[in-house]
Amino acid sequence: MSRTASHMVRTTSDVLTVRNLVVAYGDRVVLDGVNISVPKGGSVGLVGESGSGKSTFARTILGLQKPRSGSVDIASGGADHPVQMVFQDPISSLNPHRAALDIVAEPLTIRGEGTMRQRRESARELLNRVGLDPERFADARPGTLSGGQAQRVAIARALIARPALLLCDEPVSSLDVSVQARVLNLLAELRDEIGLSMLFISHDLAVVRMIADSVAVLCEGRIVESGDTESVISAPQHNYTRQLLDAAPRLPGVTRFARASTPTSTPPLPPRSPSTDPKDNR
Amino acid sequence: MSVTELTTPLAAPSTSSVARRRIPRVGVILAAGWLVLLGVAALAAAVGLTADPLANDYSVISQAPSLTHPFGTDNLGRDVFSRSLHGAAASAVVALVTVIVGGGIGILLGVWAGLRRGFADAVVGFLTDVTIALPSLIIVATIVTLSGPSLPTISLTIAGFAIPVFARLSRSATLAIATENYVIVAHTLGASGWRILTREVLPSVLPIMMPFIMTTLATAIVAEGALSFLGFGLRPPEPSWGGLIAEGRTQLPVAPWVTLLPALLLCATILSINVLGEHSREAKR
Amino acid sequence: MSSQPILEVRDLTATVIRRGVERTVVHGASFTLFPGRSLGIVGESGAGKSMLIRSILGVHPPGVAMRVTGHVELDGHNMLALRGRAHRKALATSVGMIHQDPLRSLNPTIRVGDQLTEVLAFVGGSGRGERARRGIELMRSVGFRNPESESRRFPHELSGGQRQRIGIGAAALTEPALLIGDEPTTALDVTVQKRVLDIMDETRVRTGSSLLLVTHDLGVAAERCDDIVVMRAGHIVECGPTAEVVAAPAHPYTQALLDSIPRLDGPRLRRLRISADGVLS
Repeated sequence: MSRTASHMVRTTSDVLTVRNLVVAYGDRVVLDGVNISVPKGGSVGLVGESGSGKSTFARTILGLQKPRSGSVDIASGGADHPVQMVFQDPISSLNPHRAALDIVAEPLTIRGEGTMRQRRESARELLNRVGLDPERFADARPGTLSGGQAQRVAIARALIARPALLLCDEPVSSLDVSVQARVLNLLAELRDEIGLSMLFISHDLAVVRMIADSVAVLCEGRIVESGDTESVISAPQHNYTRQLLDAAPRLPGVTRFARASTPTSTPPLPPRSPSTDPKDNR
Repeated sequence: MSVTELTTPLAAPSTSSVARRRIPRVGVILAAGWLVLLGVAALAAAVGLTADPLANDYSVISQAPSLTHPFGTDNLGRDVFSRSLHGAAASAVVALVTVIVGGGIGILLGVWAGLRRGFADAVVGFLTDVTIALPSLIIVATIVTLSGPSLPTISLTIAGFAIPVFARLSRSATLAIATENYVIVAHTLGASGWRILTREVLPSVLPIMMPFIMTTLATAIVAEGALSFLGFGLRPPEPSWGGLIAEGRTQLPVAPWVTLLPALLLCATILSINVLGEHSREAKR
Repeated sequence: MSSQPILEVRDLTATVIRRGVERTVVHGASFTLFPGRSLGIVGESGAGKSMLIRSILGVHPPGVAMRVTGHVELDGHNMLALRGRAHRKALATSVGMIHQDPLRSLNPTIRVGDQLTEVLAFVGGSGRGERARRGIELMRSVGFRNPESESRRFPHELSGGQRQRIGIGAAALTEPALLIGDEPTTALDVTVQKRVLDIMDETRVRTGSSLLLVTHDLGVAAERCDDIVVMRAGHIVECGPTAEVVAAPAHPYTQALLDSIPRLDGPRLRRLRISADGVLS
């Protein structure tokens, strides 16, 4: 796999191909020539902090934002809405007045697929598949669901539409760490089971590592590094990637972190040398 | 081991807020009860179960309230009770037409403008601003004078003036809701504009509008009352609350019940509506 | 080093009373914090971490009555026995609080430099020019490179990380015995988080304060704290030096938490066994 700043391997079986995407709001350029692709059945991670442009990227893929230049190609296989999204805040992505079963069945209802009974049956199956017992949850309103449960409903709804691409925008960031693990497990299982193609956006490299085979690092509107996830993490090429890795908290026993210690046991840290990196003054 | 009751918090819960949680329960029941009672009575009057409101009977003029005439009679011997109830019926019609027609059109316009933005929003905004700036009572009075005072005319004109306010409020509510994630999701699922309006946005907008809907009921009743008091409403001898109050003014020294009892009815009704409106706002929290 | 703990908590139990219904949110918590050391309080949402801090400090959410029993000794003060002015004074002199959202704790209409000098004026003991100078110095010490101009900014003109550093500076201004960080970096990007935590460490060393760090992020606590306390549903389920807790957790919940943290090293996905009530094993 190429490790340069702007290439991902493109094959004809790519579900998503983004070429030289430029998105701007007036004078402000938010995405500056982004190239990324998702192979069929593959899972690609996009790592970026706030201000990197990742939210704008998600909206552009969904068609909610028009790019200034560049192209977004989705191998839709004829479907009208081949990209489905899972949001960061699960509860706000569900209509608060409706029951879970209706929410999950909604995509089919909109398309007018099948009879109402068939739609509800499919929805029930999918609720089951994401780990929610239909008996208990079919009539539940979003307000009564926990974050993890709501996210599962959102995933079920996204999947019932049989999307070509599942776009996940920080889907586990607002969940407790134990719930996070379960939802990530679920996504991984679904990916393996039905060959789901996935683009996973997150600010957390470790989370992306758990779910994505390849990763692209987005910094201020540009992809600064991309490639196989394990390689990028073990041998980062770009300074920003190194910063991200360095900043991630490490559990003791893992090398390479400095921290202040008690004044009586060790001498205090020397004053930090001024850094020329503008990011250091954030 | 020390035990402490931390009852001195940074922001002490005010006793009034505790009290307020109790009062609406009793008040709400009373208010709702009153409105139901009035509604039933007005209906009974409208189908003719009470005395004829227009019948003059010179043998019983200006009589104080009694069993046969619960609200007494006026200077023409007419039963004030029945007249009051007919007036209630008229007020109810005006209020309901205003909310249903005016509110219905206004909310749909506002939600539509809030969702579409752009040109549609600009047009609706312009019409709304112009209409709100107009002196509504004077214009309604003029229209009523020109086309003759009838219940439909009065109701629809008042409703017309309610449209822009409903539109403006529902537009604001829509703007807040349209950016919610679940509305965006509906877009990505391919829902049509109409479907999004009715199934995603409207169910969230209506609860927000409920307090305003209640106060509009009250405002419409007061508007009708003011118009008929000034003589621009239903022409006497047609009974209406404002008209009754106006007629009774001259009889105050002799037969105060002619003015006071309909006025009390009006106050009680407005108060009840406001209590319910407040309750609907509290209940949302 | 003094062997007297700066904070000693014994059998702390807090019950919230709302509309006549009682709910115990902290069950018999006990731990000790010695001068100059840092303690991480780790737990998921609803574990009771915030309630624990509120109980120790004796402040609770508005409109809610709370009953606290047990023993809390902070910097020599018997916290549960103090009331009114004495209580406030104890808090003001001994505690510096760093909130999760500095936008809430900073006044949006006052320039940040002035807010710092305001604290100095409250503490007293220096003239105007002196306060201004100390304010600038403080901003420099928390990493602002142009404090003269940056002190003229309003809170909303600063980034999240910058605001949080002001928050740290303000908390440390009185050189309190105890600094408490309540999820101070939860809303920040990871690179900004590192910088803010570094500044917090440096500040702490400079003032000699102890640190209570409340966080849901076990990794952050493990990296920055000498000792760790793990909370779950109002109970402390694990307590001890960080290295030990992480290497050999005594409680299965701690082990489960450790297992579910996404790691940059080691195996990618551990297939977790999840029981019916949601407990990881």
